Order: sequence, then structure tokens, then C-alpha cells
Amino acid sequence: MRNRTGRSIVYVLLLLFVGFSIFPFYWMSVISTRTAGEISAIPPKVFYGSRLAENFDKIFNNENVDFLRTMGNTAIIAVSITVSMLLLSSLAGFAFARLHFTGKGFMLLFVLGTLMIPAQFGIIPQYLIITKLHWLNDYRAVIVPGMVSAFGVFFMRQYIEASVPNELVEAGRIDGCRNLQLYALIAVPAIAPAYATLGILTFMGAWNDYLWPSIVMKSNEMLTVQVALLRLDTSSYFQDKSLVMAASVMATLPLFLIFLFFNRQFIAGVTDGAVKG
Amino acid sequence: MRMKQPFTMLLAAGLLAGSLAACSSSNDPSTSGTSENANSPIKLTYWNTNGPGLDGLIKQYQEENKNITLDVQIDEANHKQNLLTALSAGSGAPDIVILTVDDIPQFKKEDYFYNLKDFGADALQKDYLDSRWKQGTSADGSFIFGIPTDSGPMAMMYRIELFEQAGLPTDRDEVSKLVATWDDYFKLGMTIKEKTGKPLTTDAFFGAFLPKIQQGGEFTFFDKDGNLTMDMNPAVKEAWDFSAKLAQAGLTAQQPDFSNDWKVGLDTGDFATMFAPPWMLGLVKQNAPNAKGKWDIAMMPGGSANWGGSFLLIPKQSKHAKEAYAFIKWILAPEQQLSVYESNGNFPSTPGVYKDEAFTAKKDDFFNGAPVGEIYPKAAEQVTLMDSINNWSTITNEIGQQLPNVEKGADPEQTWTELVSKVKSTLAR
Amino acid sequence: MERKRRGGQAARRFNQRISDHISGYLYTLPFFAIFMVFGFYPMLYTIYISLFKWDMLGDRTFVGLRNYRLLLTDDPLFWKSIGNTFLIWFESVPFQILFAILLAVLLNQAFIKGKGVFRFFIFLPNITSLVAVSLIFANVFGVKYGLFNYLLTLLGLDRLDWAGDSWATQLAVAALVFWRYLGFHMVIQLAGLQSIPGDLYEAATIDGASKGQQFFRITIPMLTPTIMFSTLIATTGGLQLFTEPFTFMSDLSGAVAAVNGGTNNQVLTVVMYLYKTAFTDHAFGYSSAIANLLLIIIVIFALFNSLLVGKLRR
Repeated sequence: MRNRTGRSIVYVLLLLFVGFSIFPFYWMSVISTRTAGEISAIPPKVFYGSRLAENFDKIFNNENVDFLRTMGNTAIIAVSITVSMLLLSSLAGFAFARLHFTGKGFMLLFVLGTLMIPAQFGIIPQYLIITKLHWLNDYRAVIVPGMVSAFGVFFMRQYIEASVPNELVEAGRIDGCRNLQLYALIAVPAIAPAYATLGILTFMGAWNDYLWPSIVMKSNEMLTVQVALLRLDTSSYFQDKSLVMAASVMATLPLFLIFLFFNRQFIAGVTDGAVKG
Repeated sequence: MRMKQPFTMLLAAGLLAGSLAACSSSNDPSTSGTSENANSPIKLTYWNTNGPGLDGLIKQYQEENKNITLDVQIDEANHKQNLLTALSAGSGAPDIVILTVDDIPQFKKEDYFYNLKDFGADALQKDYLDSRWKQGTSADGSFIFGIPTDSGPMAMMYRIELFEQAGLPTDRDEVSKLVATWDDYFKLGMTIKEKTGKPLTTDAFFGAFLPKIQQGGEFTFFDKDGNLTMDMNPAVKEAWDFSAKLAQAGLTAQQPDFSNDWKVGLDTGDFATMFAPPWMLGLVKQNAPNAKGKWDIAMMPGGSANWGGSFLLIPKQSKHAKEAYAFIKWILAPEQQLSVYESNGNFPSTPGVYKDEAFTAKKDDFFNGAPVGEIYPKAAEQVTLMDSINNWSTITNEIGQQLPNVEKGADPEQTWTELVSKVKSTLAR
Repeated sequence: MERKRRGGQAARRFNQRISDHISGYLYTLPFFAIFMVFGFYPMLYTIYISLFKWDMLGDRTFVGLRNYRLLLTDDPLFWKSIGNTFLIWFESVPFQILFAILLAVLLNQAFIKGKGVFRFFIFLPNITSLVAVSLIFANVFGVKYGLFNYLLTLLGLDRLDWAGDSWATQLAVAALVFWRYLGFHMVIQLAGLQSIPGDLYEAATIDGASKGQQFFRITIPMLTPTIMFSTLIATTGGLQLFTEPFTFMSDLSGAVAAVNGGTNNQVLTVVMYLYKTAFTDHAFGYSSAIANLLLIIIVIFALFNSLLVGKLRR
């Protein structure tokens, strides 16, 4: 009995948070079906309007922007960044967690230190480098700087530290495994949930990045989707926010689907675990 | 363990696919075609923002000039920052760039742009409004940085039902006479407040300071050499004092232009008047669709002033300055400005077309049938030269920041003193 | 024979040491290479520029440490921006971490049905673009016509001045930050929970430990590194807060308010101030000096954080 009340409370609590989380999202989808003038109406318009088709038409038959192409660009960038992030972060994380080499402690501290450099810190010198490399309007300008991050390395290091026991690594060594084999055969399978987590976070981050792509990807055929959002309507001095909203919903849809698909991977570890009620 | 296996395989597949994607991306033909041979068309890069309404003309230009392709790149949010970065880095700047009246003062650096005079632009001056032309040149007019796009001569929108309720005339000519001077405007505000309880204008910055300072002459914040004079120039203090007076009398709605509350306020009529250049009208329609027929347009107090509009410039980095200039000259010529006015409502900076029949006949149903084709040319003629020398946006930003505090009860004199010292220390950095 | 085996072992250990060194440097090389180019060089550049008065387009004037002296002794707004940043951090991050742990633990319970659905929805705010999010929040917190104030007036209460009142604006921004990153931290905590070996709980259950005991004896200690990781990310991120308050203020009360962080500079964060000095005031050397001071502050904070971890671990 006590158990059942406890569980109900848990459900109510979770539902509360779900409501809190999706309400603004719901409203966003409502606005995308309305006109700019209806956005801040009082009393608020909380139900769907009728302008969705018109807004979508403006997005997909746009004179300035090939919206699908910008989605393609963003996908190429986000996939490349995610794949290299998973590979390079886990490799470095594995080295920091399970290999012994001189200067490791200091190097790890250094990685942590780089976490603290503000992103707005070096836009101009970074831009200078990109122009020197002749990478303006080139996928590499966005992909290469994002290929591995301090966050990823540190996240993987923490996870491997916790979930790949030293004994297992030692046993592998006695069996004659080389370091790369240890990584591939022992570490990689054990950290699958961490891959899912870091992968999704990285992909979302790359997909939603705005500032840097807007600086180095200027030509229309190289735009990323977040930059394209703001180029849809050029006729008036100020933006049609409902159009931006509709485009944002479109731009979020792929993330939605990807997350939906990989969502199961998150719980792989949980169902294996022994947390039984 | 069983559940993890497919995922690991998927990951391996992803790694493979991803590395292919990364490889193919660097071989994309669209990125490697930078070199041009003699026969291929010249590509002009044009950094644009939303608003000037030139899209149709750009297409026309490309059709008529097969040797030119225009790569129009719009970046609304980081336009100015990206230009600064590209200019400063010495590479990546476009062939043509647009800059607004607010931004151009800080970009008037002769090392970074072509002097359009060298292409013969001084011959065009006679076609353009003097007040707009001077904003695009150096203080002595010898260096022409940019040619003006559309203009923003201000008139005054007024809410008809509030004027009725206050027992005031609602005819636009009579309203214009009613607000001939800024003192009249203040008195009008007191009457409306007394009779209807509604404030006169949106806020102290957009509703008073900005229009008034733009009637203050060619050198307000700075003298012609760029020295700060805002603390010595009576015109600046006068604009400040007037804004503070409106604020203290409770005549401002504290719904600053472009805020969310302002948008709704336009719809519901939370303030009796608002200063509006032609480009503002479209914005009002978009944000306040229910207010059709509820606003009308009259002249503003003290003549008029210009708010908004942009310039087209050619950065020194351009390798096709001649072609870029030919494009600018064509697209901003009077005939083209007239056609943008007809299609988009952007108000020309070339007064020659104001007498055109198609122009003068224009009325706006949304604004109670106001003859905008007559009102705005009249306003444009009254626009005087205004400050466009130095860090205009640094100072207006500071003032726009401080006036709301006066609206909330801060002492205007003390705020002014603090403001001046803040501006001084900011400029010294 | 005994000696021979020991010799072989030593040789193997030596070989292992060599190969560990090679692998260690090789595996971490990509990170350091990319960092050197896109992180370290910009840092040196910024330090160099901070010694000049420069508007980015004109000549550079060498001013030595003047920018730092002005910042530390003659710029109340800089100190205010630091204060704001910490206040907003304090109003959002601790709650965020706390609720993230709570939600992660709840979602890790076997009896919960539809885990995926819950996790999916709570994570949603993090995948939405900020452009859309800030517009929505500006709508909710509009002064005269916002949803929140509308509800207050329905209840017969006074409206709150989200754009002018310092604490109200800060709270609105903190709410945005809390809302947007709760799911992010929940996901990190979930990953942490999953790294705890299940047999620990099995053994504890066999020993008759209650769920509460398991939570405090196993879950929390095992989760400490993850919690600290989350805190570190939230802290470094929080001290670099920029886009959220900037876009929110821009939708709430226009561009001037966005640049200044409100009429009282109430949500002007350090990075927003850095941005204002660079792109509104064109004081680029000064702005670089702010960036460097911010870096120092973050490093101090992170050191404090790791010291705390050290304490907790012992």
C-alpha cells in the first residue's frame, strides 16, 4: 500500500516535470501555425491556428534559401563531428583512465583548463586561421574545430574510470592484448551508453550551433540550418516570427527523430543493471 | 550485454559512413570553384540584411548582365560583427556590403573601403536627399563611403479613438497643426492623459529623444573632427530634458519600440502617438493586424527627422570594385528606388521621384486611407542634416539604457551627469 | 627458472610502459593538436591584444596594463556583470543539479513504465533552437502582456516588472537556464547511474540493505564524480552565460536592452559585457582584457571545485 502511494507520487512528480518541459515547446508549435500578430495576443492563443501550410510553403519554396540543402549541410557537419568526437574522445578518455604515461596528470588538468575558455574568446584569431587555411565556405571550417572537445574527453574519462575495471584491463594484457585491442574489445563495449549520451549531446550541439557557422559559412549553398532560419524572410526590416517558429520546428524535427531512435540506447545499461523495484 | 551489441555495430557503421561523409565533403565541387577563367561570369558577393527589398531588382540585374552573378548573403543577427571580423582579419569581406545609418559612423575608416568618388559617385549626389547623402560621406564630404538605399523620414501615427475621446480634432491636417512644436506636443499629451488616462507615446527614448536629437543638426554628439561635444551642445541637453519631462509627467507608456509589449500596445492602442518612418508602417501591419483603420498619420512636431535606411559600400578587399560600383549605381538609381517603393513600400532617398504620379497617389487603407504618398515626401523635405561622424550607436545605446530609469523615477539631472561621465570613460577605452 | 620468469615479467612490464607512453600520447594527440590551433593560439592573441587600445579598424595604441587597471579600479559595470553572473548561476545551477539527480534516480527505478517517454520530454528543451526558446520566454515574461503576468492579474495580484525589476529579470533568465539545461544534466546523471555496477545493489539487497540505505551508501558515493562533472560543466557554462539572456532580452524589450542586459544592467553577464565593449563600443583591447579576467575567475572557481571534490572523496 505504502509502496503504491510512493509510486503514484513519483509518477505525479515526473508528469509535472514533463509538463514544465513541453509547455514552451507546445507553444512554439502553436505559434508556427499562426501569424506574427497573434503571437502576443491577450488572452493568449493556446490552440493551433491555420497558417501552418502557408508558413511551410514559404520555407520550402523560398527564394533565398534552399532549406532542404541547408538541412543536408547541417547533417553532414553534425554527423562528421559526432563520429569523430565519439572516436577521439573515447580514445583520449581511455588513455587518461587506463594507460600510464608521464605527464598524464598535468595533461588532464590542462584538458580541464580548456573547458573554461569562453567560446566568444577567440573568434577573430580563429577566423584568421580559417582564412589562412582557405577554409571559408568549406565544411572543414566547422567540422575540424569541433572534432574533439574537452567536454567529450573528460566525460569519457570519467565514464571509463567508473565502468571499465582495472582488473579487466590487466587480464586483457595478460592475454596479450595490445592497447588498441584493449580499447576496442574491452572499453568500447562497456561504454556503449556513454557513446549514446555523448553522441546525442554532440549531435544536438553541432546541429544547433549558430555563431561560428554564421561567421565561416556565408554563401547560400553552404549555410547551416540555424543560420538559414534567419534568412527566410528578407522583405521587411523585421522578421516574421511565426515563420521563424515554423522553420525552427522543421529544423528541430530531425533531432526529434534521432533522439527518439537512440532513446532506447540510453536505457540499455539500466535494463541490464540490477536496480529492481 | 545483449542489447548493447546492435548499438556497437551501428556505431561502427556510423564511424565508417561518417568518415566517408567527411571525405566527400572536402571534395564538394561548390567549395573548390574559387578560381575563375576569363569566360566565366564575375561573381560579386553581397552581404545583405533583411529589409531593403532589393531582391527582385537583383534578379533583374543578373538577367540583364549575364557576365555578373550575385551571391547575396544575408545575416541578420551578426552582420556588423562579421564585417568587423572580416575587415580586421584582412580577408573574407564581400564585394558589396550594406550598413545601416546607425552602424555606418563607426565604419567610416578610409583604409577599409573604396572612395566611391574615384568611380565618379560625386556626380550622383544631386539625385539624393542631402541629409541622407551626407551620412554616407566623411565630415568634409571628400570621401564617399556609401550610396544611400531607402530613407526613413518620420511622420506621426496617432490613434483616432483616443483623440476623439479627448475631444481633439481627428483630421490629419488639424492634428499636424496641433503638434507644430514640441511644446504643443507636450500639451497634447497632458490633455490626452487627463481625458483618457492613456500616455502620449511609447517611451522616452524612441518617443522623444531619438526624433528630437535627429533634428539637432549635423554635429550633436561630436564636432566635425570627432571630438565629443555632447556635454557642451545645448541641442543634446534640450532633447534629454524634453524626454525627461515627458517621462516625469507620465506621458510615456514604457513600452519601447520593438518590445513584445509594444507590439500588443499597437494593437490595443496603449499610447496615443508614435513616430513612424515609412518602413515602420509594414511592421505595424504585421504586428497589429486588428488595428486596421484605427491609426492615422500626421506630420510630427518640429519638422521631421530621418530614422533608418542604409548604405551600400565596397570594402577595399574587393577584387571587382568596378563591377560592384556599376551594380550599386544601377540598383540605387531613382528609377529602381521608385520600383522598390511600388513593390515593397521602401521610401526612396532620391527626391526626384516624389513628384511621380504613381508616387503621390499612394494611400494606405490600413492607416485610415492616409495619403502616404503626400505626407512622406513633405516630411522628407524637412529632414535636416544629422550627426553621422563617430560612435553614434555607443552614445544612443547609453541614452536608450538610461531613459527608462528616468521613467521609473530616477533624477534626470543626476542621471545626465552620470551618463556623460560614462560615455567619456567608454570612449577613452 | 624463477629468475628467468621474473626477468620476462620485467621485460614485459618495460615493453608495456613504452607502449603505454606511445599509445597515451598518440590517443590524446588529436585533442591537443586541435586545441593548440583553435584554443591556445587565440588565447595568446587575446592576451596580446588586451595590451592595446584598438577599435579593430584603426591603429593599435600600446597601453600596457591600462585596460586591466581601468577594469579593476574604474569600471563599476564590470563588477556588476560579475555579480550578475554569479547571482544567475546561484539561482539556477544548484537547483538544476539537484533536480537532475532526483529525476535521473527516479527514471532509473525499474518499476517506472515509459521511462523513454519521460526522458524524451524532459530532454526536449535542450534540443530546441534558442531563437525559438527565447521568443517563447519573452512571451511568457512580457511585462504588460506576458502569460505569467496575465495569470497574476487573473488571480488579482500585481504584475511583476520582468524587464525593469532587477531580481525579477534575473529570475526569468535563471528560469530559462534551468528549463533548458535540466534535461541535459539529467542525461549525464543517468549515464553516471548506469556506470554503477549492478552487482553492488544485488549484494546489498542480499545483505538486507533498504532502498534508502542503498541510495546513500551506494548511489550517492558512486555518483559523486558524475555530480562533480555536471557541476563543473554547469559552472563553466554558467560563468560564460551569454546567448540566453541576450536573445531573451532582445525579444522582451528590444536591442538596447539586449546589449545592456536591461535598464539596470541587471542581467548583463560578463560575456555580455565583453560583447558590448567589443561590438557596441568598439573597444576591442578592453574587451580582450575582460576575456582574460573572466578566464582567471573561471579557473579559480574550477580549482575550488576540484578542491571540494578532493575533500569529498577523502
